[in-house]
Amino acid sequence: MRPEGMTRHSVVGFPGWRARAWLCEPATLAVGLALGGLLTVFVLLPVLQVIIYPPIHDYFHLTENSRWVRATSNTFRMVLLSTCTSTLVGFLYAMALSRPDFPGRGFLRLTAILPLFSPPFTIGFSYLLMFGRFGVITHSLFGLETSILGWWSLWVVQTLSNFPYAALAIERALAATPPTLEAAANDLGGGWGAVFRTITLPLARPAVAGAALLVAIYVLADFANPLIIGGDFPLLATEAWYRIDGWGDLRGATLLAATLLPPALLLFIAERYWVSRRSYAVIGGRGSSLDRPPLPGPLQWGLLAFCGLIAALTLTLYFGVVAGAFTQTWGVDWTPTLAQWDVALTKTDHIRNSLVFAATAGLLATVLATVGAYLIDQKAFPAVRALDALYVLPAAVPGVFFGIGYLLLFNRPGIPLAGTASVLILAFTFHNLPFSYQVARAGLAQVHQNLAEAAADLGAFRFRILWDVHLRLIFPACVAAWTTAFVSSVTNVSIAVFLVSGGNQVATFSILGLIGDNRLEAASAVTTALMLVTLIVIAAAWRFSRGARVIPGVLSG
Amino acid sequence: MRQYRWILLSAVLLGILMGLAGLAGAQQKIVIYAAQDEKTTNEMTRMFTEETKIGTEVIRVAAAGTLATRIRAEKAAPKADVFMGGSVEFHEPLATEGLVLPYRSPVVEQAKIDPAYVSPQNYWHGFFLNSLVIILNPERFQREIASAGGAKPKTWDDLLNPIYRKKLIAGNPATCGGAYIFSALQIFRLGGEDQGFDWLKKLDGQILQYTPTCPGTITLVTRGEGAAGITWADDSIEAMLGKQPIEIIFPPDTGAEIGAISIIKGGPNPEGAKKWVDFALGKKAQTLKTELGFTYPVRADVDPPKNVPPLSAIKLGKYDRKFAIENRDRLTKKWEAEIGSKR
Repeated sequence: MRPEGMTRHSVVGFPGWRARAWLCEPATLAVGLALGGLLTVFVLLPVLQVIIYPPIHDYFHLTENSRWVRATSNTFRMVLLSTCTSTLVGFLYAMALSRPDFPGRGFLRLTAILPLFSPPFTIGFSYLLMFGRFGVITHSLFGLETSILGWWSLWVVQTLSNFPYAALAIERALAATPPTLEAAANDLGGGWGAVFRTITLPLARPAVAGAALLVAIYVLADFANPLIIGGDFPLLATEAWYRIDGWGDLRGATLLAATLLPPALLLFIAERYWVSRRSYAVIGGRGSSLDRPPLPGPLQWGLLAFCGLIAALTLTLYFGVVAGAFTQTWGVDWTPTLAQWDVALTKTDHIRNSLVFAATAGLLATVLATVGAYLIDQKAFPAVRALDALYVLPAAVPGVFFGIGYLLLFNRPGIPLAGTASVLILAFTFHNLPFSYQVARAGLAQVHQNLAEAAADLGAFRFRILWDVHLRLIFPACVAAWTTAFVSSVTNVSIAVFLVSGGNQVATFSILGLIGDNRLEAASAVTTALMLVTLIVIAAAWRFSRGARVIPGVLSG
Repeated sequence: MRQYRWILLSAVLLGILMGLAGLAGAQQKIVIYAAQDEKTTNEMTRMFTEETKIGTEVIRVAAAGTLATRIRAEKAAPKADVFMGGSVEFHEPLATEGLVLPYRSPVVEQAKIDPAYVSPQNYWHGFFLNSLVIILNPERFQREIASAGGAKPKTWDDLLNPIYRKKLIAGNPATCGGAYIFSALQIFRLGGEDQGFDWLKKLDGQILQYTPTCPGTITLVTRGEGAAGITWADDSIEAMLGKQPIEIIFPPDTGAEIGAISIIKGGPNPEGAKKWVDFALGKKAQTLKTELGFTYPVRADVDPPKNVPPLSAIKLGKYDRKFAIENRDRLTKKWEAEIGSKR
């Protein structure tokens, strides 16, 4: 390590600058400690609470249940398959979205965002209605009569439900790749393939790895899709849910949920190892109006055809939901009617609750994610790795698990949180923190260290640097972080089902109730209403983000 | 000046808040965890408030298990007064864990309700009876079964007809209560565990898909994924009245669930909860539940639902509820080892 005096005037003295920075700034240390404390109470403790709930000997008898052993191997297969396809589709989609000249880009973006909006259960049902044995597409249109139940259907649905997360994360990174670099490589005689291999791909690698990690964990923890179409394909997450839903067996559920943690942690470690081997920085801050070199013709059309197909599939599923909201009996009597909307109208306060709770959770998550991502990106805090792990941990925790953990931990005499909306908002905040965090990290990774160093050399304190340099550059990433936390809170049901109380029910909870009553049409009316309102909020947010683009060329949206 | 204005504003806000708090305290209410359909629940709570002036706050989920889990998790500080709906299979374990407040409603004596509907230790009161049925998809039946000379299944054994091979949908006994009751029923019906399991293994060859929940069976049969299925009567009747393509058959020797109400120990308003139990066993509530929920009433002076055969006609099979509840864990594990995991 260099002595301090040398680095004060040095531009390239990373190690010394870092060491000096955290030693000199108690505020940084305080903020870091506060974040660590918050994450411990709201992430670590609920998780531990769930792990220690089942008696220890239950863990030793885990392998005696052959169904659970089968569930474990199925889970690994499904995670592997779905993660590969979701990340690949997400990457291709992101390539299309990140090019301003791509035909039909706005439309593709809409279809990429749509799947994020749907409450769980809806996609599965719609898939059954559109592609099932008597499905609208397969049977009525093509006269096919094939059974869709099974693991490969689940694979398709998981890919369609999860690729948007990958696309959204990767697009940020691709869009942040300076066109100047690509143009320069092009000018030096590198063909499209060479540019892609040496510039686009390496720069996108952290985002791709991060996206794959998140998708893997979402697939690992998802129980809604398998519940509808997975059928005889037991998975760990669904088994945990069945223990609750079918048996009220909290002990078995917590036991199974606990088995999901080790693979999730392994995924996390793998991602860290793969990404952190190389440093990725792009010189930023200087504007460039240069256009990206165009894609070769056949590639462009191939990409368009592929994305078009995915978009068509997605739209078909949503058509099912919206059509259901205006029909008498879904899939049987297609008489158009507004009758279902009477039900939707009685749920207006639930929809309002959903929006208010999710918006608050989104805001909290964004602030926590941005500050944390910044400290960790700057390695400004001694225990960055631990803090980083705490930030990503909630993604490895199934929502059901989070819900039960919060219920067990905060529902005690004397703790004022229990039974209030704030416990639900906090659960949403911390459960969605990883995605907001990942988006913020990806945004920060693209900001060159030089900018911060220049500011530091000019005497700026850490949080001044955050405010003046980073926040301006990653503002769109912040909006994206808020949006994703907001959307996944609005659509969450696995946490809500445990933490709602009489006065603060949310829309997904009433949708779940309607589906349970077999009132699918009314459920799709509420779903449609919820998606519409969410879409309006998101549209406003994107508009806001693009309008606030600070330095053109660095983060062209 | 400005400072005073802030103080004034704060005082007003505080006053409003305190007023609201006082109001909330003055009005009595009970919190109900309900595992039954929305329409019935809303009508029942409306009627209850009208009668007793006690307000209600309801958390409603279709699956009783979810609510039972909540009650277990809230053990340290119970939030609800009443757990309603879901079969006694959910209430009995909660009672043995000490989460239920014993109570015997005077209505049981007044209305001469069959003691089979009340817990011997007064833990729960049954307030409806629901039976297992066979359901058919008419279109697939006509096309694949009737055209090949097959008949509609009238008994459980008819389901073993090779013509239904890989065309049946049933709940998974390891994950859903109704399917477990169905499996245990076969043990009692055929006179022994070995015989019961032999029969279930034969049935397994006929099953296209086990669904995680019982209503899930209805979804797959009405959508034509399966030609026939085994599920609850009440959900099936509701689907039928909702004009979904479904035909319902009540086989002899069928199984049934007793839907129960219990009072949660340590809940905020046990007196209100007791009033709710009395109310739910009353004639008005029983009539309402029967008409809207399509289940059998527990009172003799309330007519059974219009759309089902009378209870005397459906011949319930032998069923040892105590044995079934006590051996649930062992039998589902055995089912999984011998049948589920072999698929």
